Amino acid sequence: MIRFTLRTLLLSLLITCITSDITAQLNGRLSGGFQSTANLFLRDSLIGADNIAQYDNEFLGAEAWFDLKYSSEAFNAGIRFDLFNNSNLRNPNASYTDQGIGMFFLQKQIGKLELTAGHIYDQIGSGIIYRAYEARPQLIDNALFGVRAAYDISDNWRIKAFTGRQKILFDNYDSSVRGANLEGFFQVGEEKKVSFAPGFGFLNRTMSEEVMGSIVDVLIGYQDIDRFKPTFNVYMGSFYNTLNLGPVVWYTEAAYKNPDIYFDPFAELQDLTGTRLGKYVKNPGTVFYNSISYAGNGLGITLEGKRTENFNIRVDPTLRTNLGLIHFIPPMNRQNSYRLTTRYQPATQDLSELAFQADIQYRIKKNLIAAVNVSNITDLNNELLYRELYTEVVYKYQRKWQMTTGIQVQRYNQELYEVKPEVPIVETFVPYIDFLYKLDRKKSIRTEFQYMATGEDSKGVKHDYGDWIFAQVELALAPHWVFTLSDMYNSSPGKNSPTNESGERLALHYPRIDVFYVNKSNRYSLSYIKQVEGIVCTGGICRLEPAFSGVRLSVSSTF
Amino acid sequence: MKSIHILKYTLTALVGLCLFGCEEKMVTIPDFEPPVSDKVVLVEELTGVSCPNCPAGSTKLASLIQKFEGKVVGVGIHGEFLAEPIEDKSIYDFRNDVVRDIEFHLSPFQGKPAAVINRVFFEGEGFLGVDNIDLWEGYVQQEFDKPEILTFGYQVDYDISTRQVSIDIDMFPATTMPGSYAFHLMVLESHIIDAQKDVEEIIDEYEHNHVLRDMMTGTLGDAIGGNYSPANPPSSRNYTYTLPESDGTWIPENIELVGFVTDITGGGEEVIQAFEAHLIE
Repeated sequence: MIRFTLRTLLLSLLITCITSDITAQLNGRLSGGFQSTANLFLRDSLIGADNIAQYDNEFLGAEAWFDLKYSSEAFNAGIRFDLFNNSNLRNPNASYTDQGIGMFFLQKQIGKLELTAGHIYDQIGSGIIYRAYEARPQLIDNALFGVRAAYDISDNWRIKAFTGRQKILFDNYDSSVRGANLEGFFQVGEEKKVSFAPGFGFLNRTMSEEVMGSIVDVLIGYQDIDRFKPTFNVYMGSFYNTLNLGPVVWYTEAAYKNPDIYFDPFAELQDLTGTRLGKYVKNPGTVFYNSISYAGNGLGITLEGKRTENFNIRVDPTLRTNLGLIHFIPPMNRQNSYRLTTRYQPATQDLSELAFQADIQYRIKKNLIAAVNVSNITDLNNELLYRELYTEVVYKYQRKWQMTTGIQVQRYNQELYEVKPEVPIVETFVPYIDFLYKLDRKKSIRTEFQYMATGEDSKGVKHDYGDWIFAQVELALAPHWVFTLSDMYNSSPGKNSPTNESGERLALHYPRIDVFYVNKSNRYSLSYIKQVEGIVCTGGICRLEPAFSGVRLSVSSTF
Repeated sequence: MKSIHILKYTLTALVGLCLFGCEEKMVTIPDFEPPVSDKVVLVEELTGVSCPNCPAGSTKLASLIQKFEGKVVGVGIHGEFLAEPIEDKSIYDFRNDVVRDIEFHLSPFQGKPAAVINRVFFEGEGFLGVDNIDLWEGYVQQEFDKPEILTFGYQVDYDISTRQVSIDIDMFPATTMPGSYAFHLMVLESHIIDAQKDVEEIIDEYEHNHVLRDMMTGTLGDAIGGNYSPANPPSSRNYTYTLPESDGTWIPENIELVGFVTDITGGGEEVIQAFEAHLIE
């Protein structure tokens, strides 16, 4: 009740401030956005879209976010209303219903000092020790509910400090977080072609008494051999710098955390009745990340490397999956966009990962671009987790047509990423072609064709779901309408493909029809979808998504 | 420039203060003390033969049963999710309509394994089923801190020739019980050797214990009224059940009967007491 009263008071204050400021000053700006998705769930037990409440008795579900931001010389403010109705976003196997104020903040600039209170999205460096952000496809929203002060010490240095508790849906976790960072920017040389942007970050998390109580309860259950002395606090520090040397940009970041509690799913625990995998441990952690890129004369090269060891930091170590994470470790593979090239994506491993990536683009002619991307991810024991070769050639013929084509070759450690025992490393080979043809100034037709060939195990059975064919036709009638029709066909079913009652693997179609209507900054879509189970990732944070069958209506608007 | 110097000195002072004054007092872990209560806690493990993380849950459940000897009763619910038999490996299918109904009744849950402990929704958990194995013991301990309301007396008879089981149950209230209650009686089987997925392999000869096979009451239990009092005679019930023919399972020596009473007052379903009996001791 106290929390509600406080929130109501703050909201009243916010609304009062906005209305009074609007009347007082005409130079304020109101902006925002609305995003909503409504799902009609149509059970299809063949593809595995069943046995959750949405398919069994709820049938309709929705999510919506409505943002408002007000900016003026006097202050900035923002508020967001969130709604989840029979939603499967929180847990793909369950239903979630709630609504309320998902975010609000007030911000005031006083000379060189900037003050913010409320829900704060921010990060230190690339996010390795701290990142508060929102990723709606996975319902990640870990804003800090607290205060932040930032001060411009000079033209070159800025310091900021913040403290608060991490948000979880319409509540906050008990544990508290505080941090600070100092960032600078210098240019050297007469022509100022060389610049440095150094930064130092610090973060501390203090577990609440309740969380420590849970940890103590866990450790009471451990044998002496697996016990350790828990501590309330973890301290982390990072150094980062961006060096610009003309066409060369070098970003480097190193981070360290002192010994902290985390769950290691691969550590062996001695239980009373035997051993089992997975236990809490307390270790220090490190991350080293480097990215160097060159751009010039039609050539673009980016080389990246990252080493991660024991770097899983949560507001509450007893939380799992994507819950309660304080930080974000950048992914080290290409962020693909075609349907079959995105089927297998590696989730960032925060306990043991050594990753390298090279991305090269070259403009051969004005209308011809070639690109190659190679990534290799192993654990620190050199076990292969993920490897990818991706090529792309883009050719434009006058303004009449454009073709994008290439291949993708992958090795994906499904046993580790999806915890599927005794499955081989999934091997894929995906050729793809995307052809855009402009019928006239307003009409165009685009087709996509992709084929995924998968490897076979020792019994001759195809890996995972086996081979796929994907085809899509898209008709665009500018400026308002887009129609798409696509099908993903499991042409040669594999070990994990759905089976019929006699155990025969089924070659199923997963069709999709979309109609999009765009009017200024408003976008509407109506889709009929049959979607196979797969992995959904945002920036290396992934989760397994079950199959979907149904109709989806989406609206998004910005103003 | 002056600001940078102030900042430098401030940061140095803060680091110095922390180095000498921020040493954290260590938290000590108390030794395990067996509960003094006579309560028996029911742990319903949502599990499945195709669930690679579930052997870890079953190991933990076995440890709880051993650690809290006679005071924890375990049930393995192979309902639907990740419970489908393993192709070319499994001999048996533990799924049936009764088990599916129970799993659906206890859902939603985040994933498997998950333990439903006395059917209590613990504070801070998103679901009735607790999917963090390491938290199970703490929640079991919490249940022992609750007052004991009821004790059971029971007598099991098994006729080898007809494979018929008969059980007489007496319920003795330790205090007045003004609410509404339901009685549940489950049929479990242990020592079933069959395939089970593990994190890194499929274990062909895994020993499945406390597998829920059937219920002698309805899946939501049988309503037994309320207003019980220690001053009144015990409430008694009798159930009979015929074991199906053995197909390698349904071995009488491996059959366990698990009974428990839930407080269904106001739509709740918290387990207030449980017991476990064997056909052949």
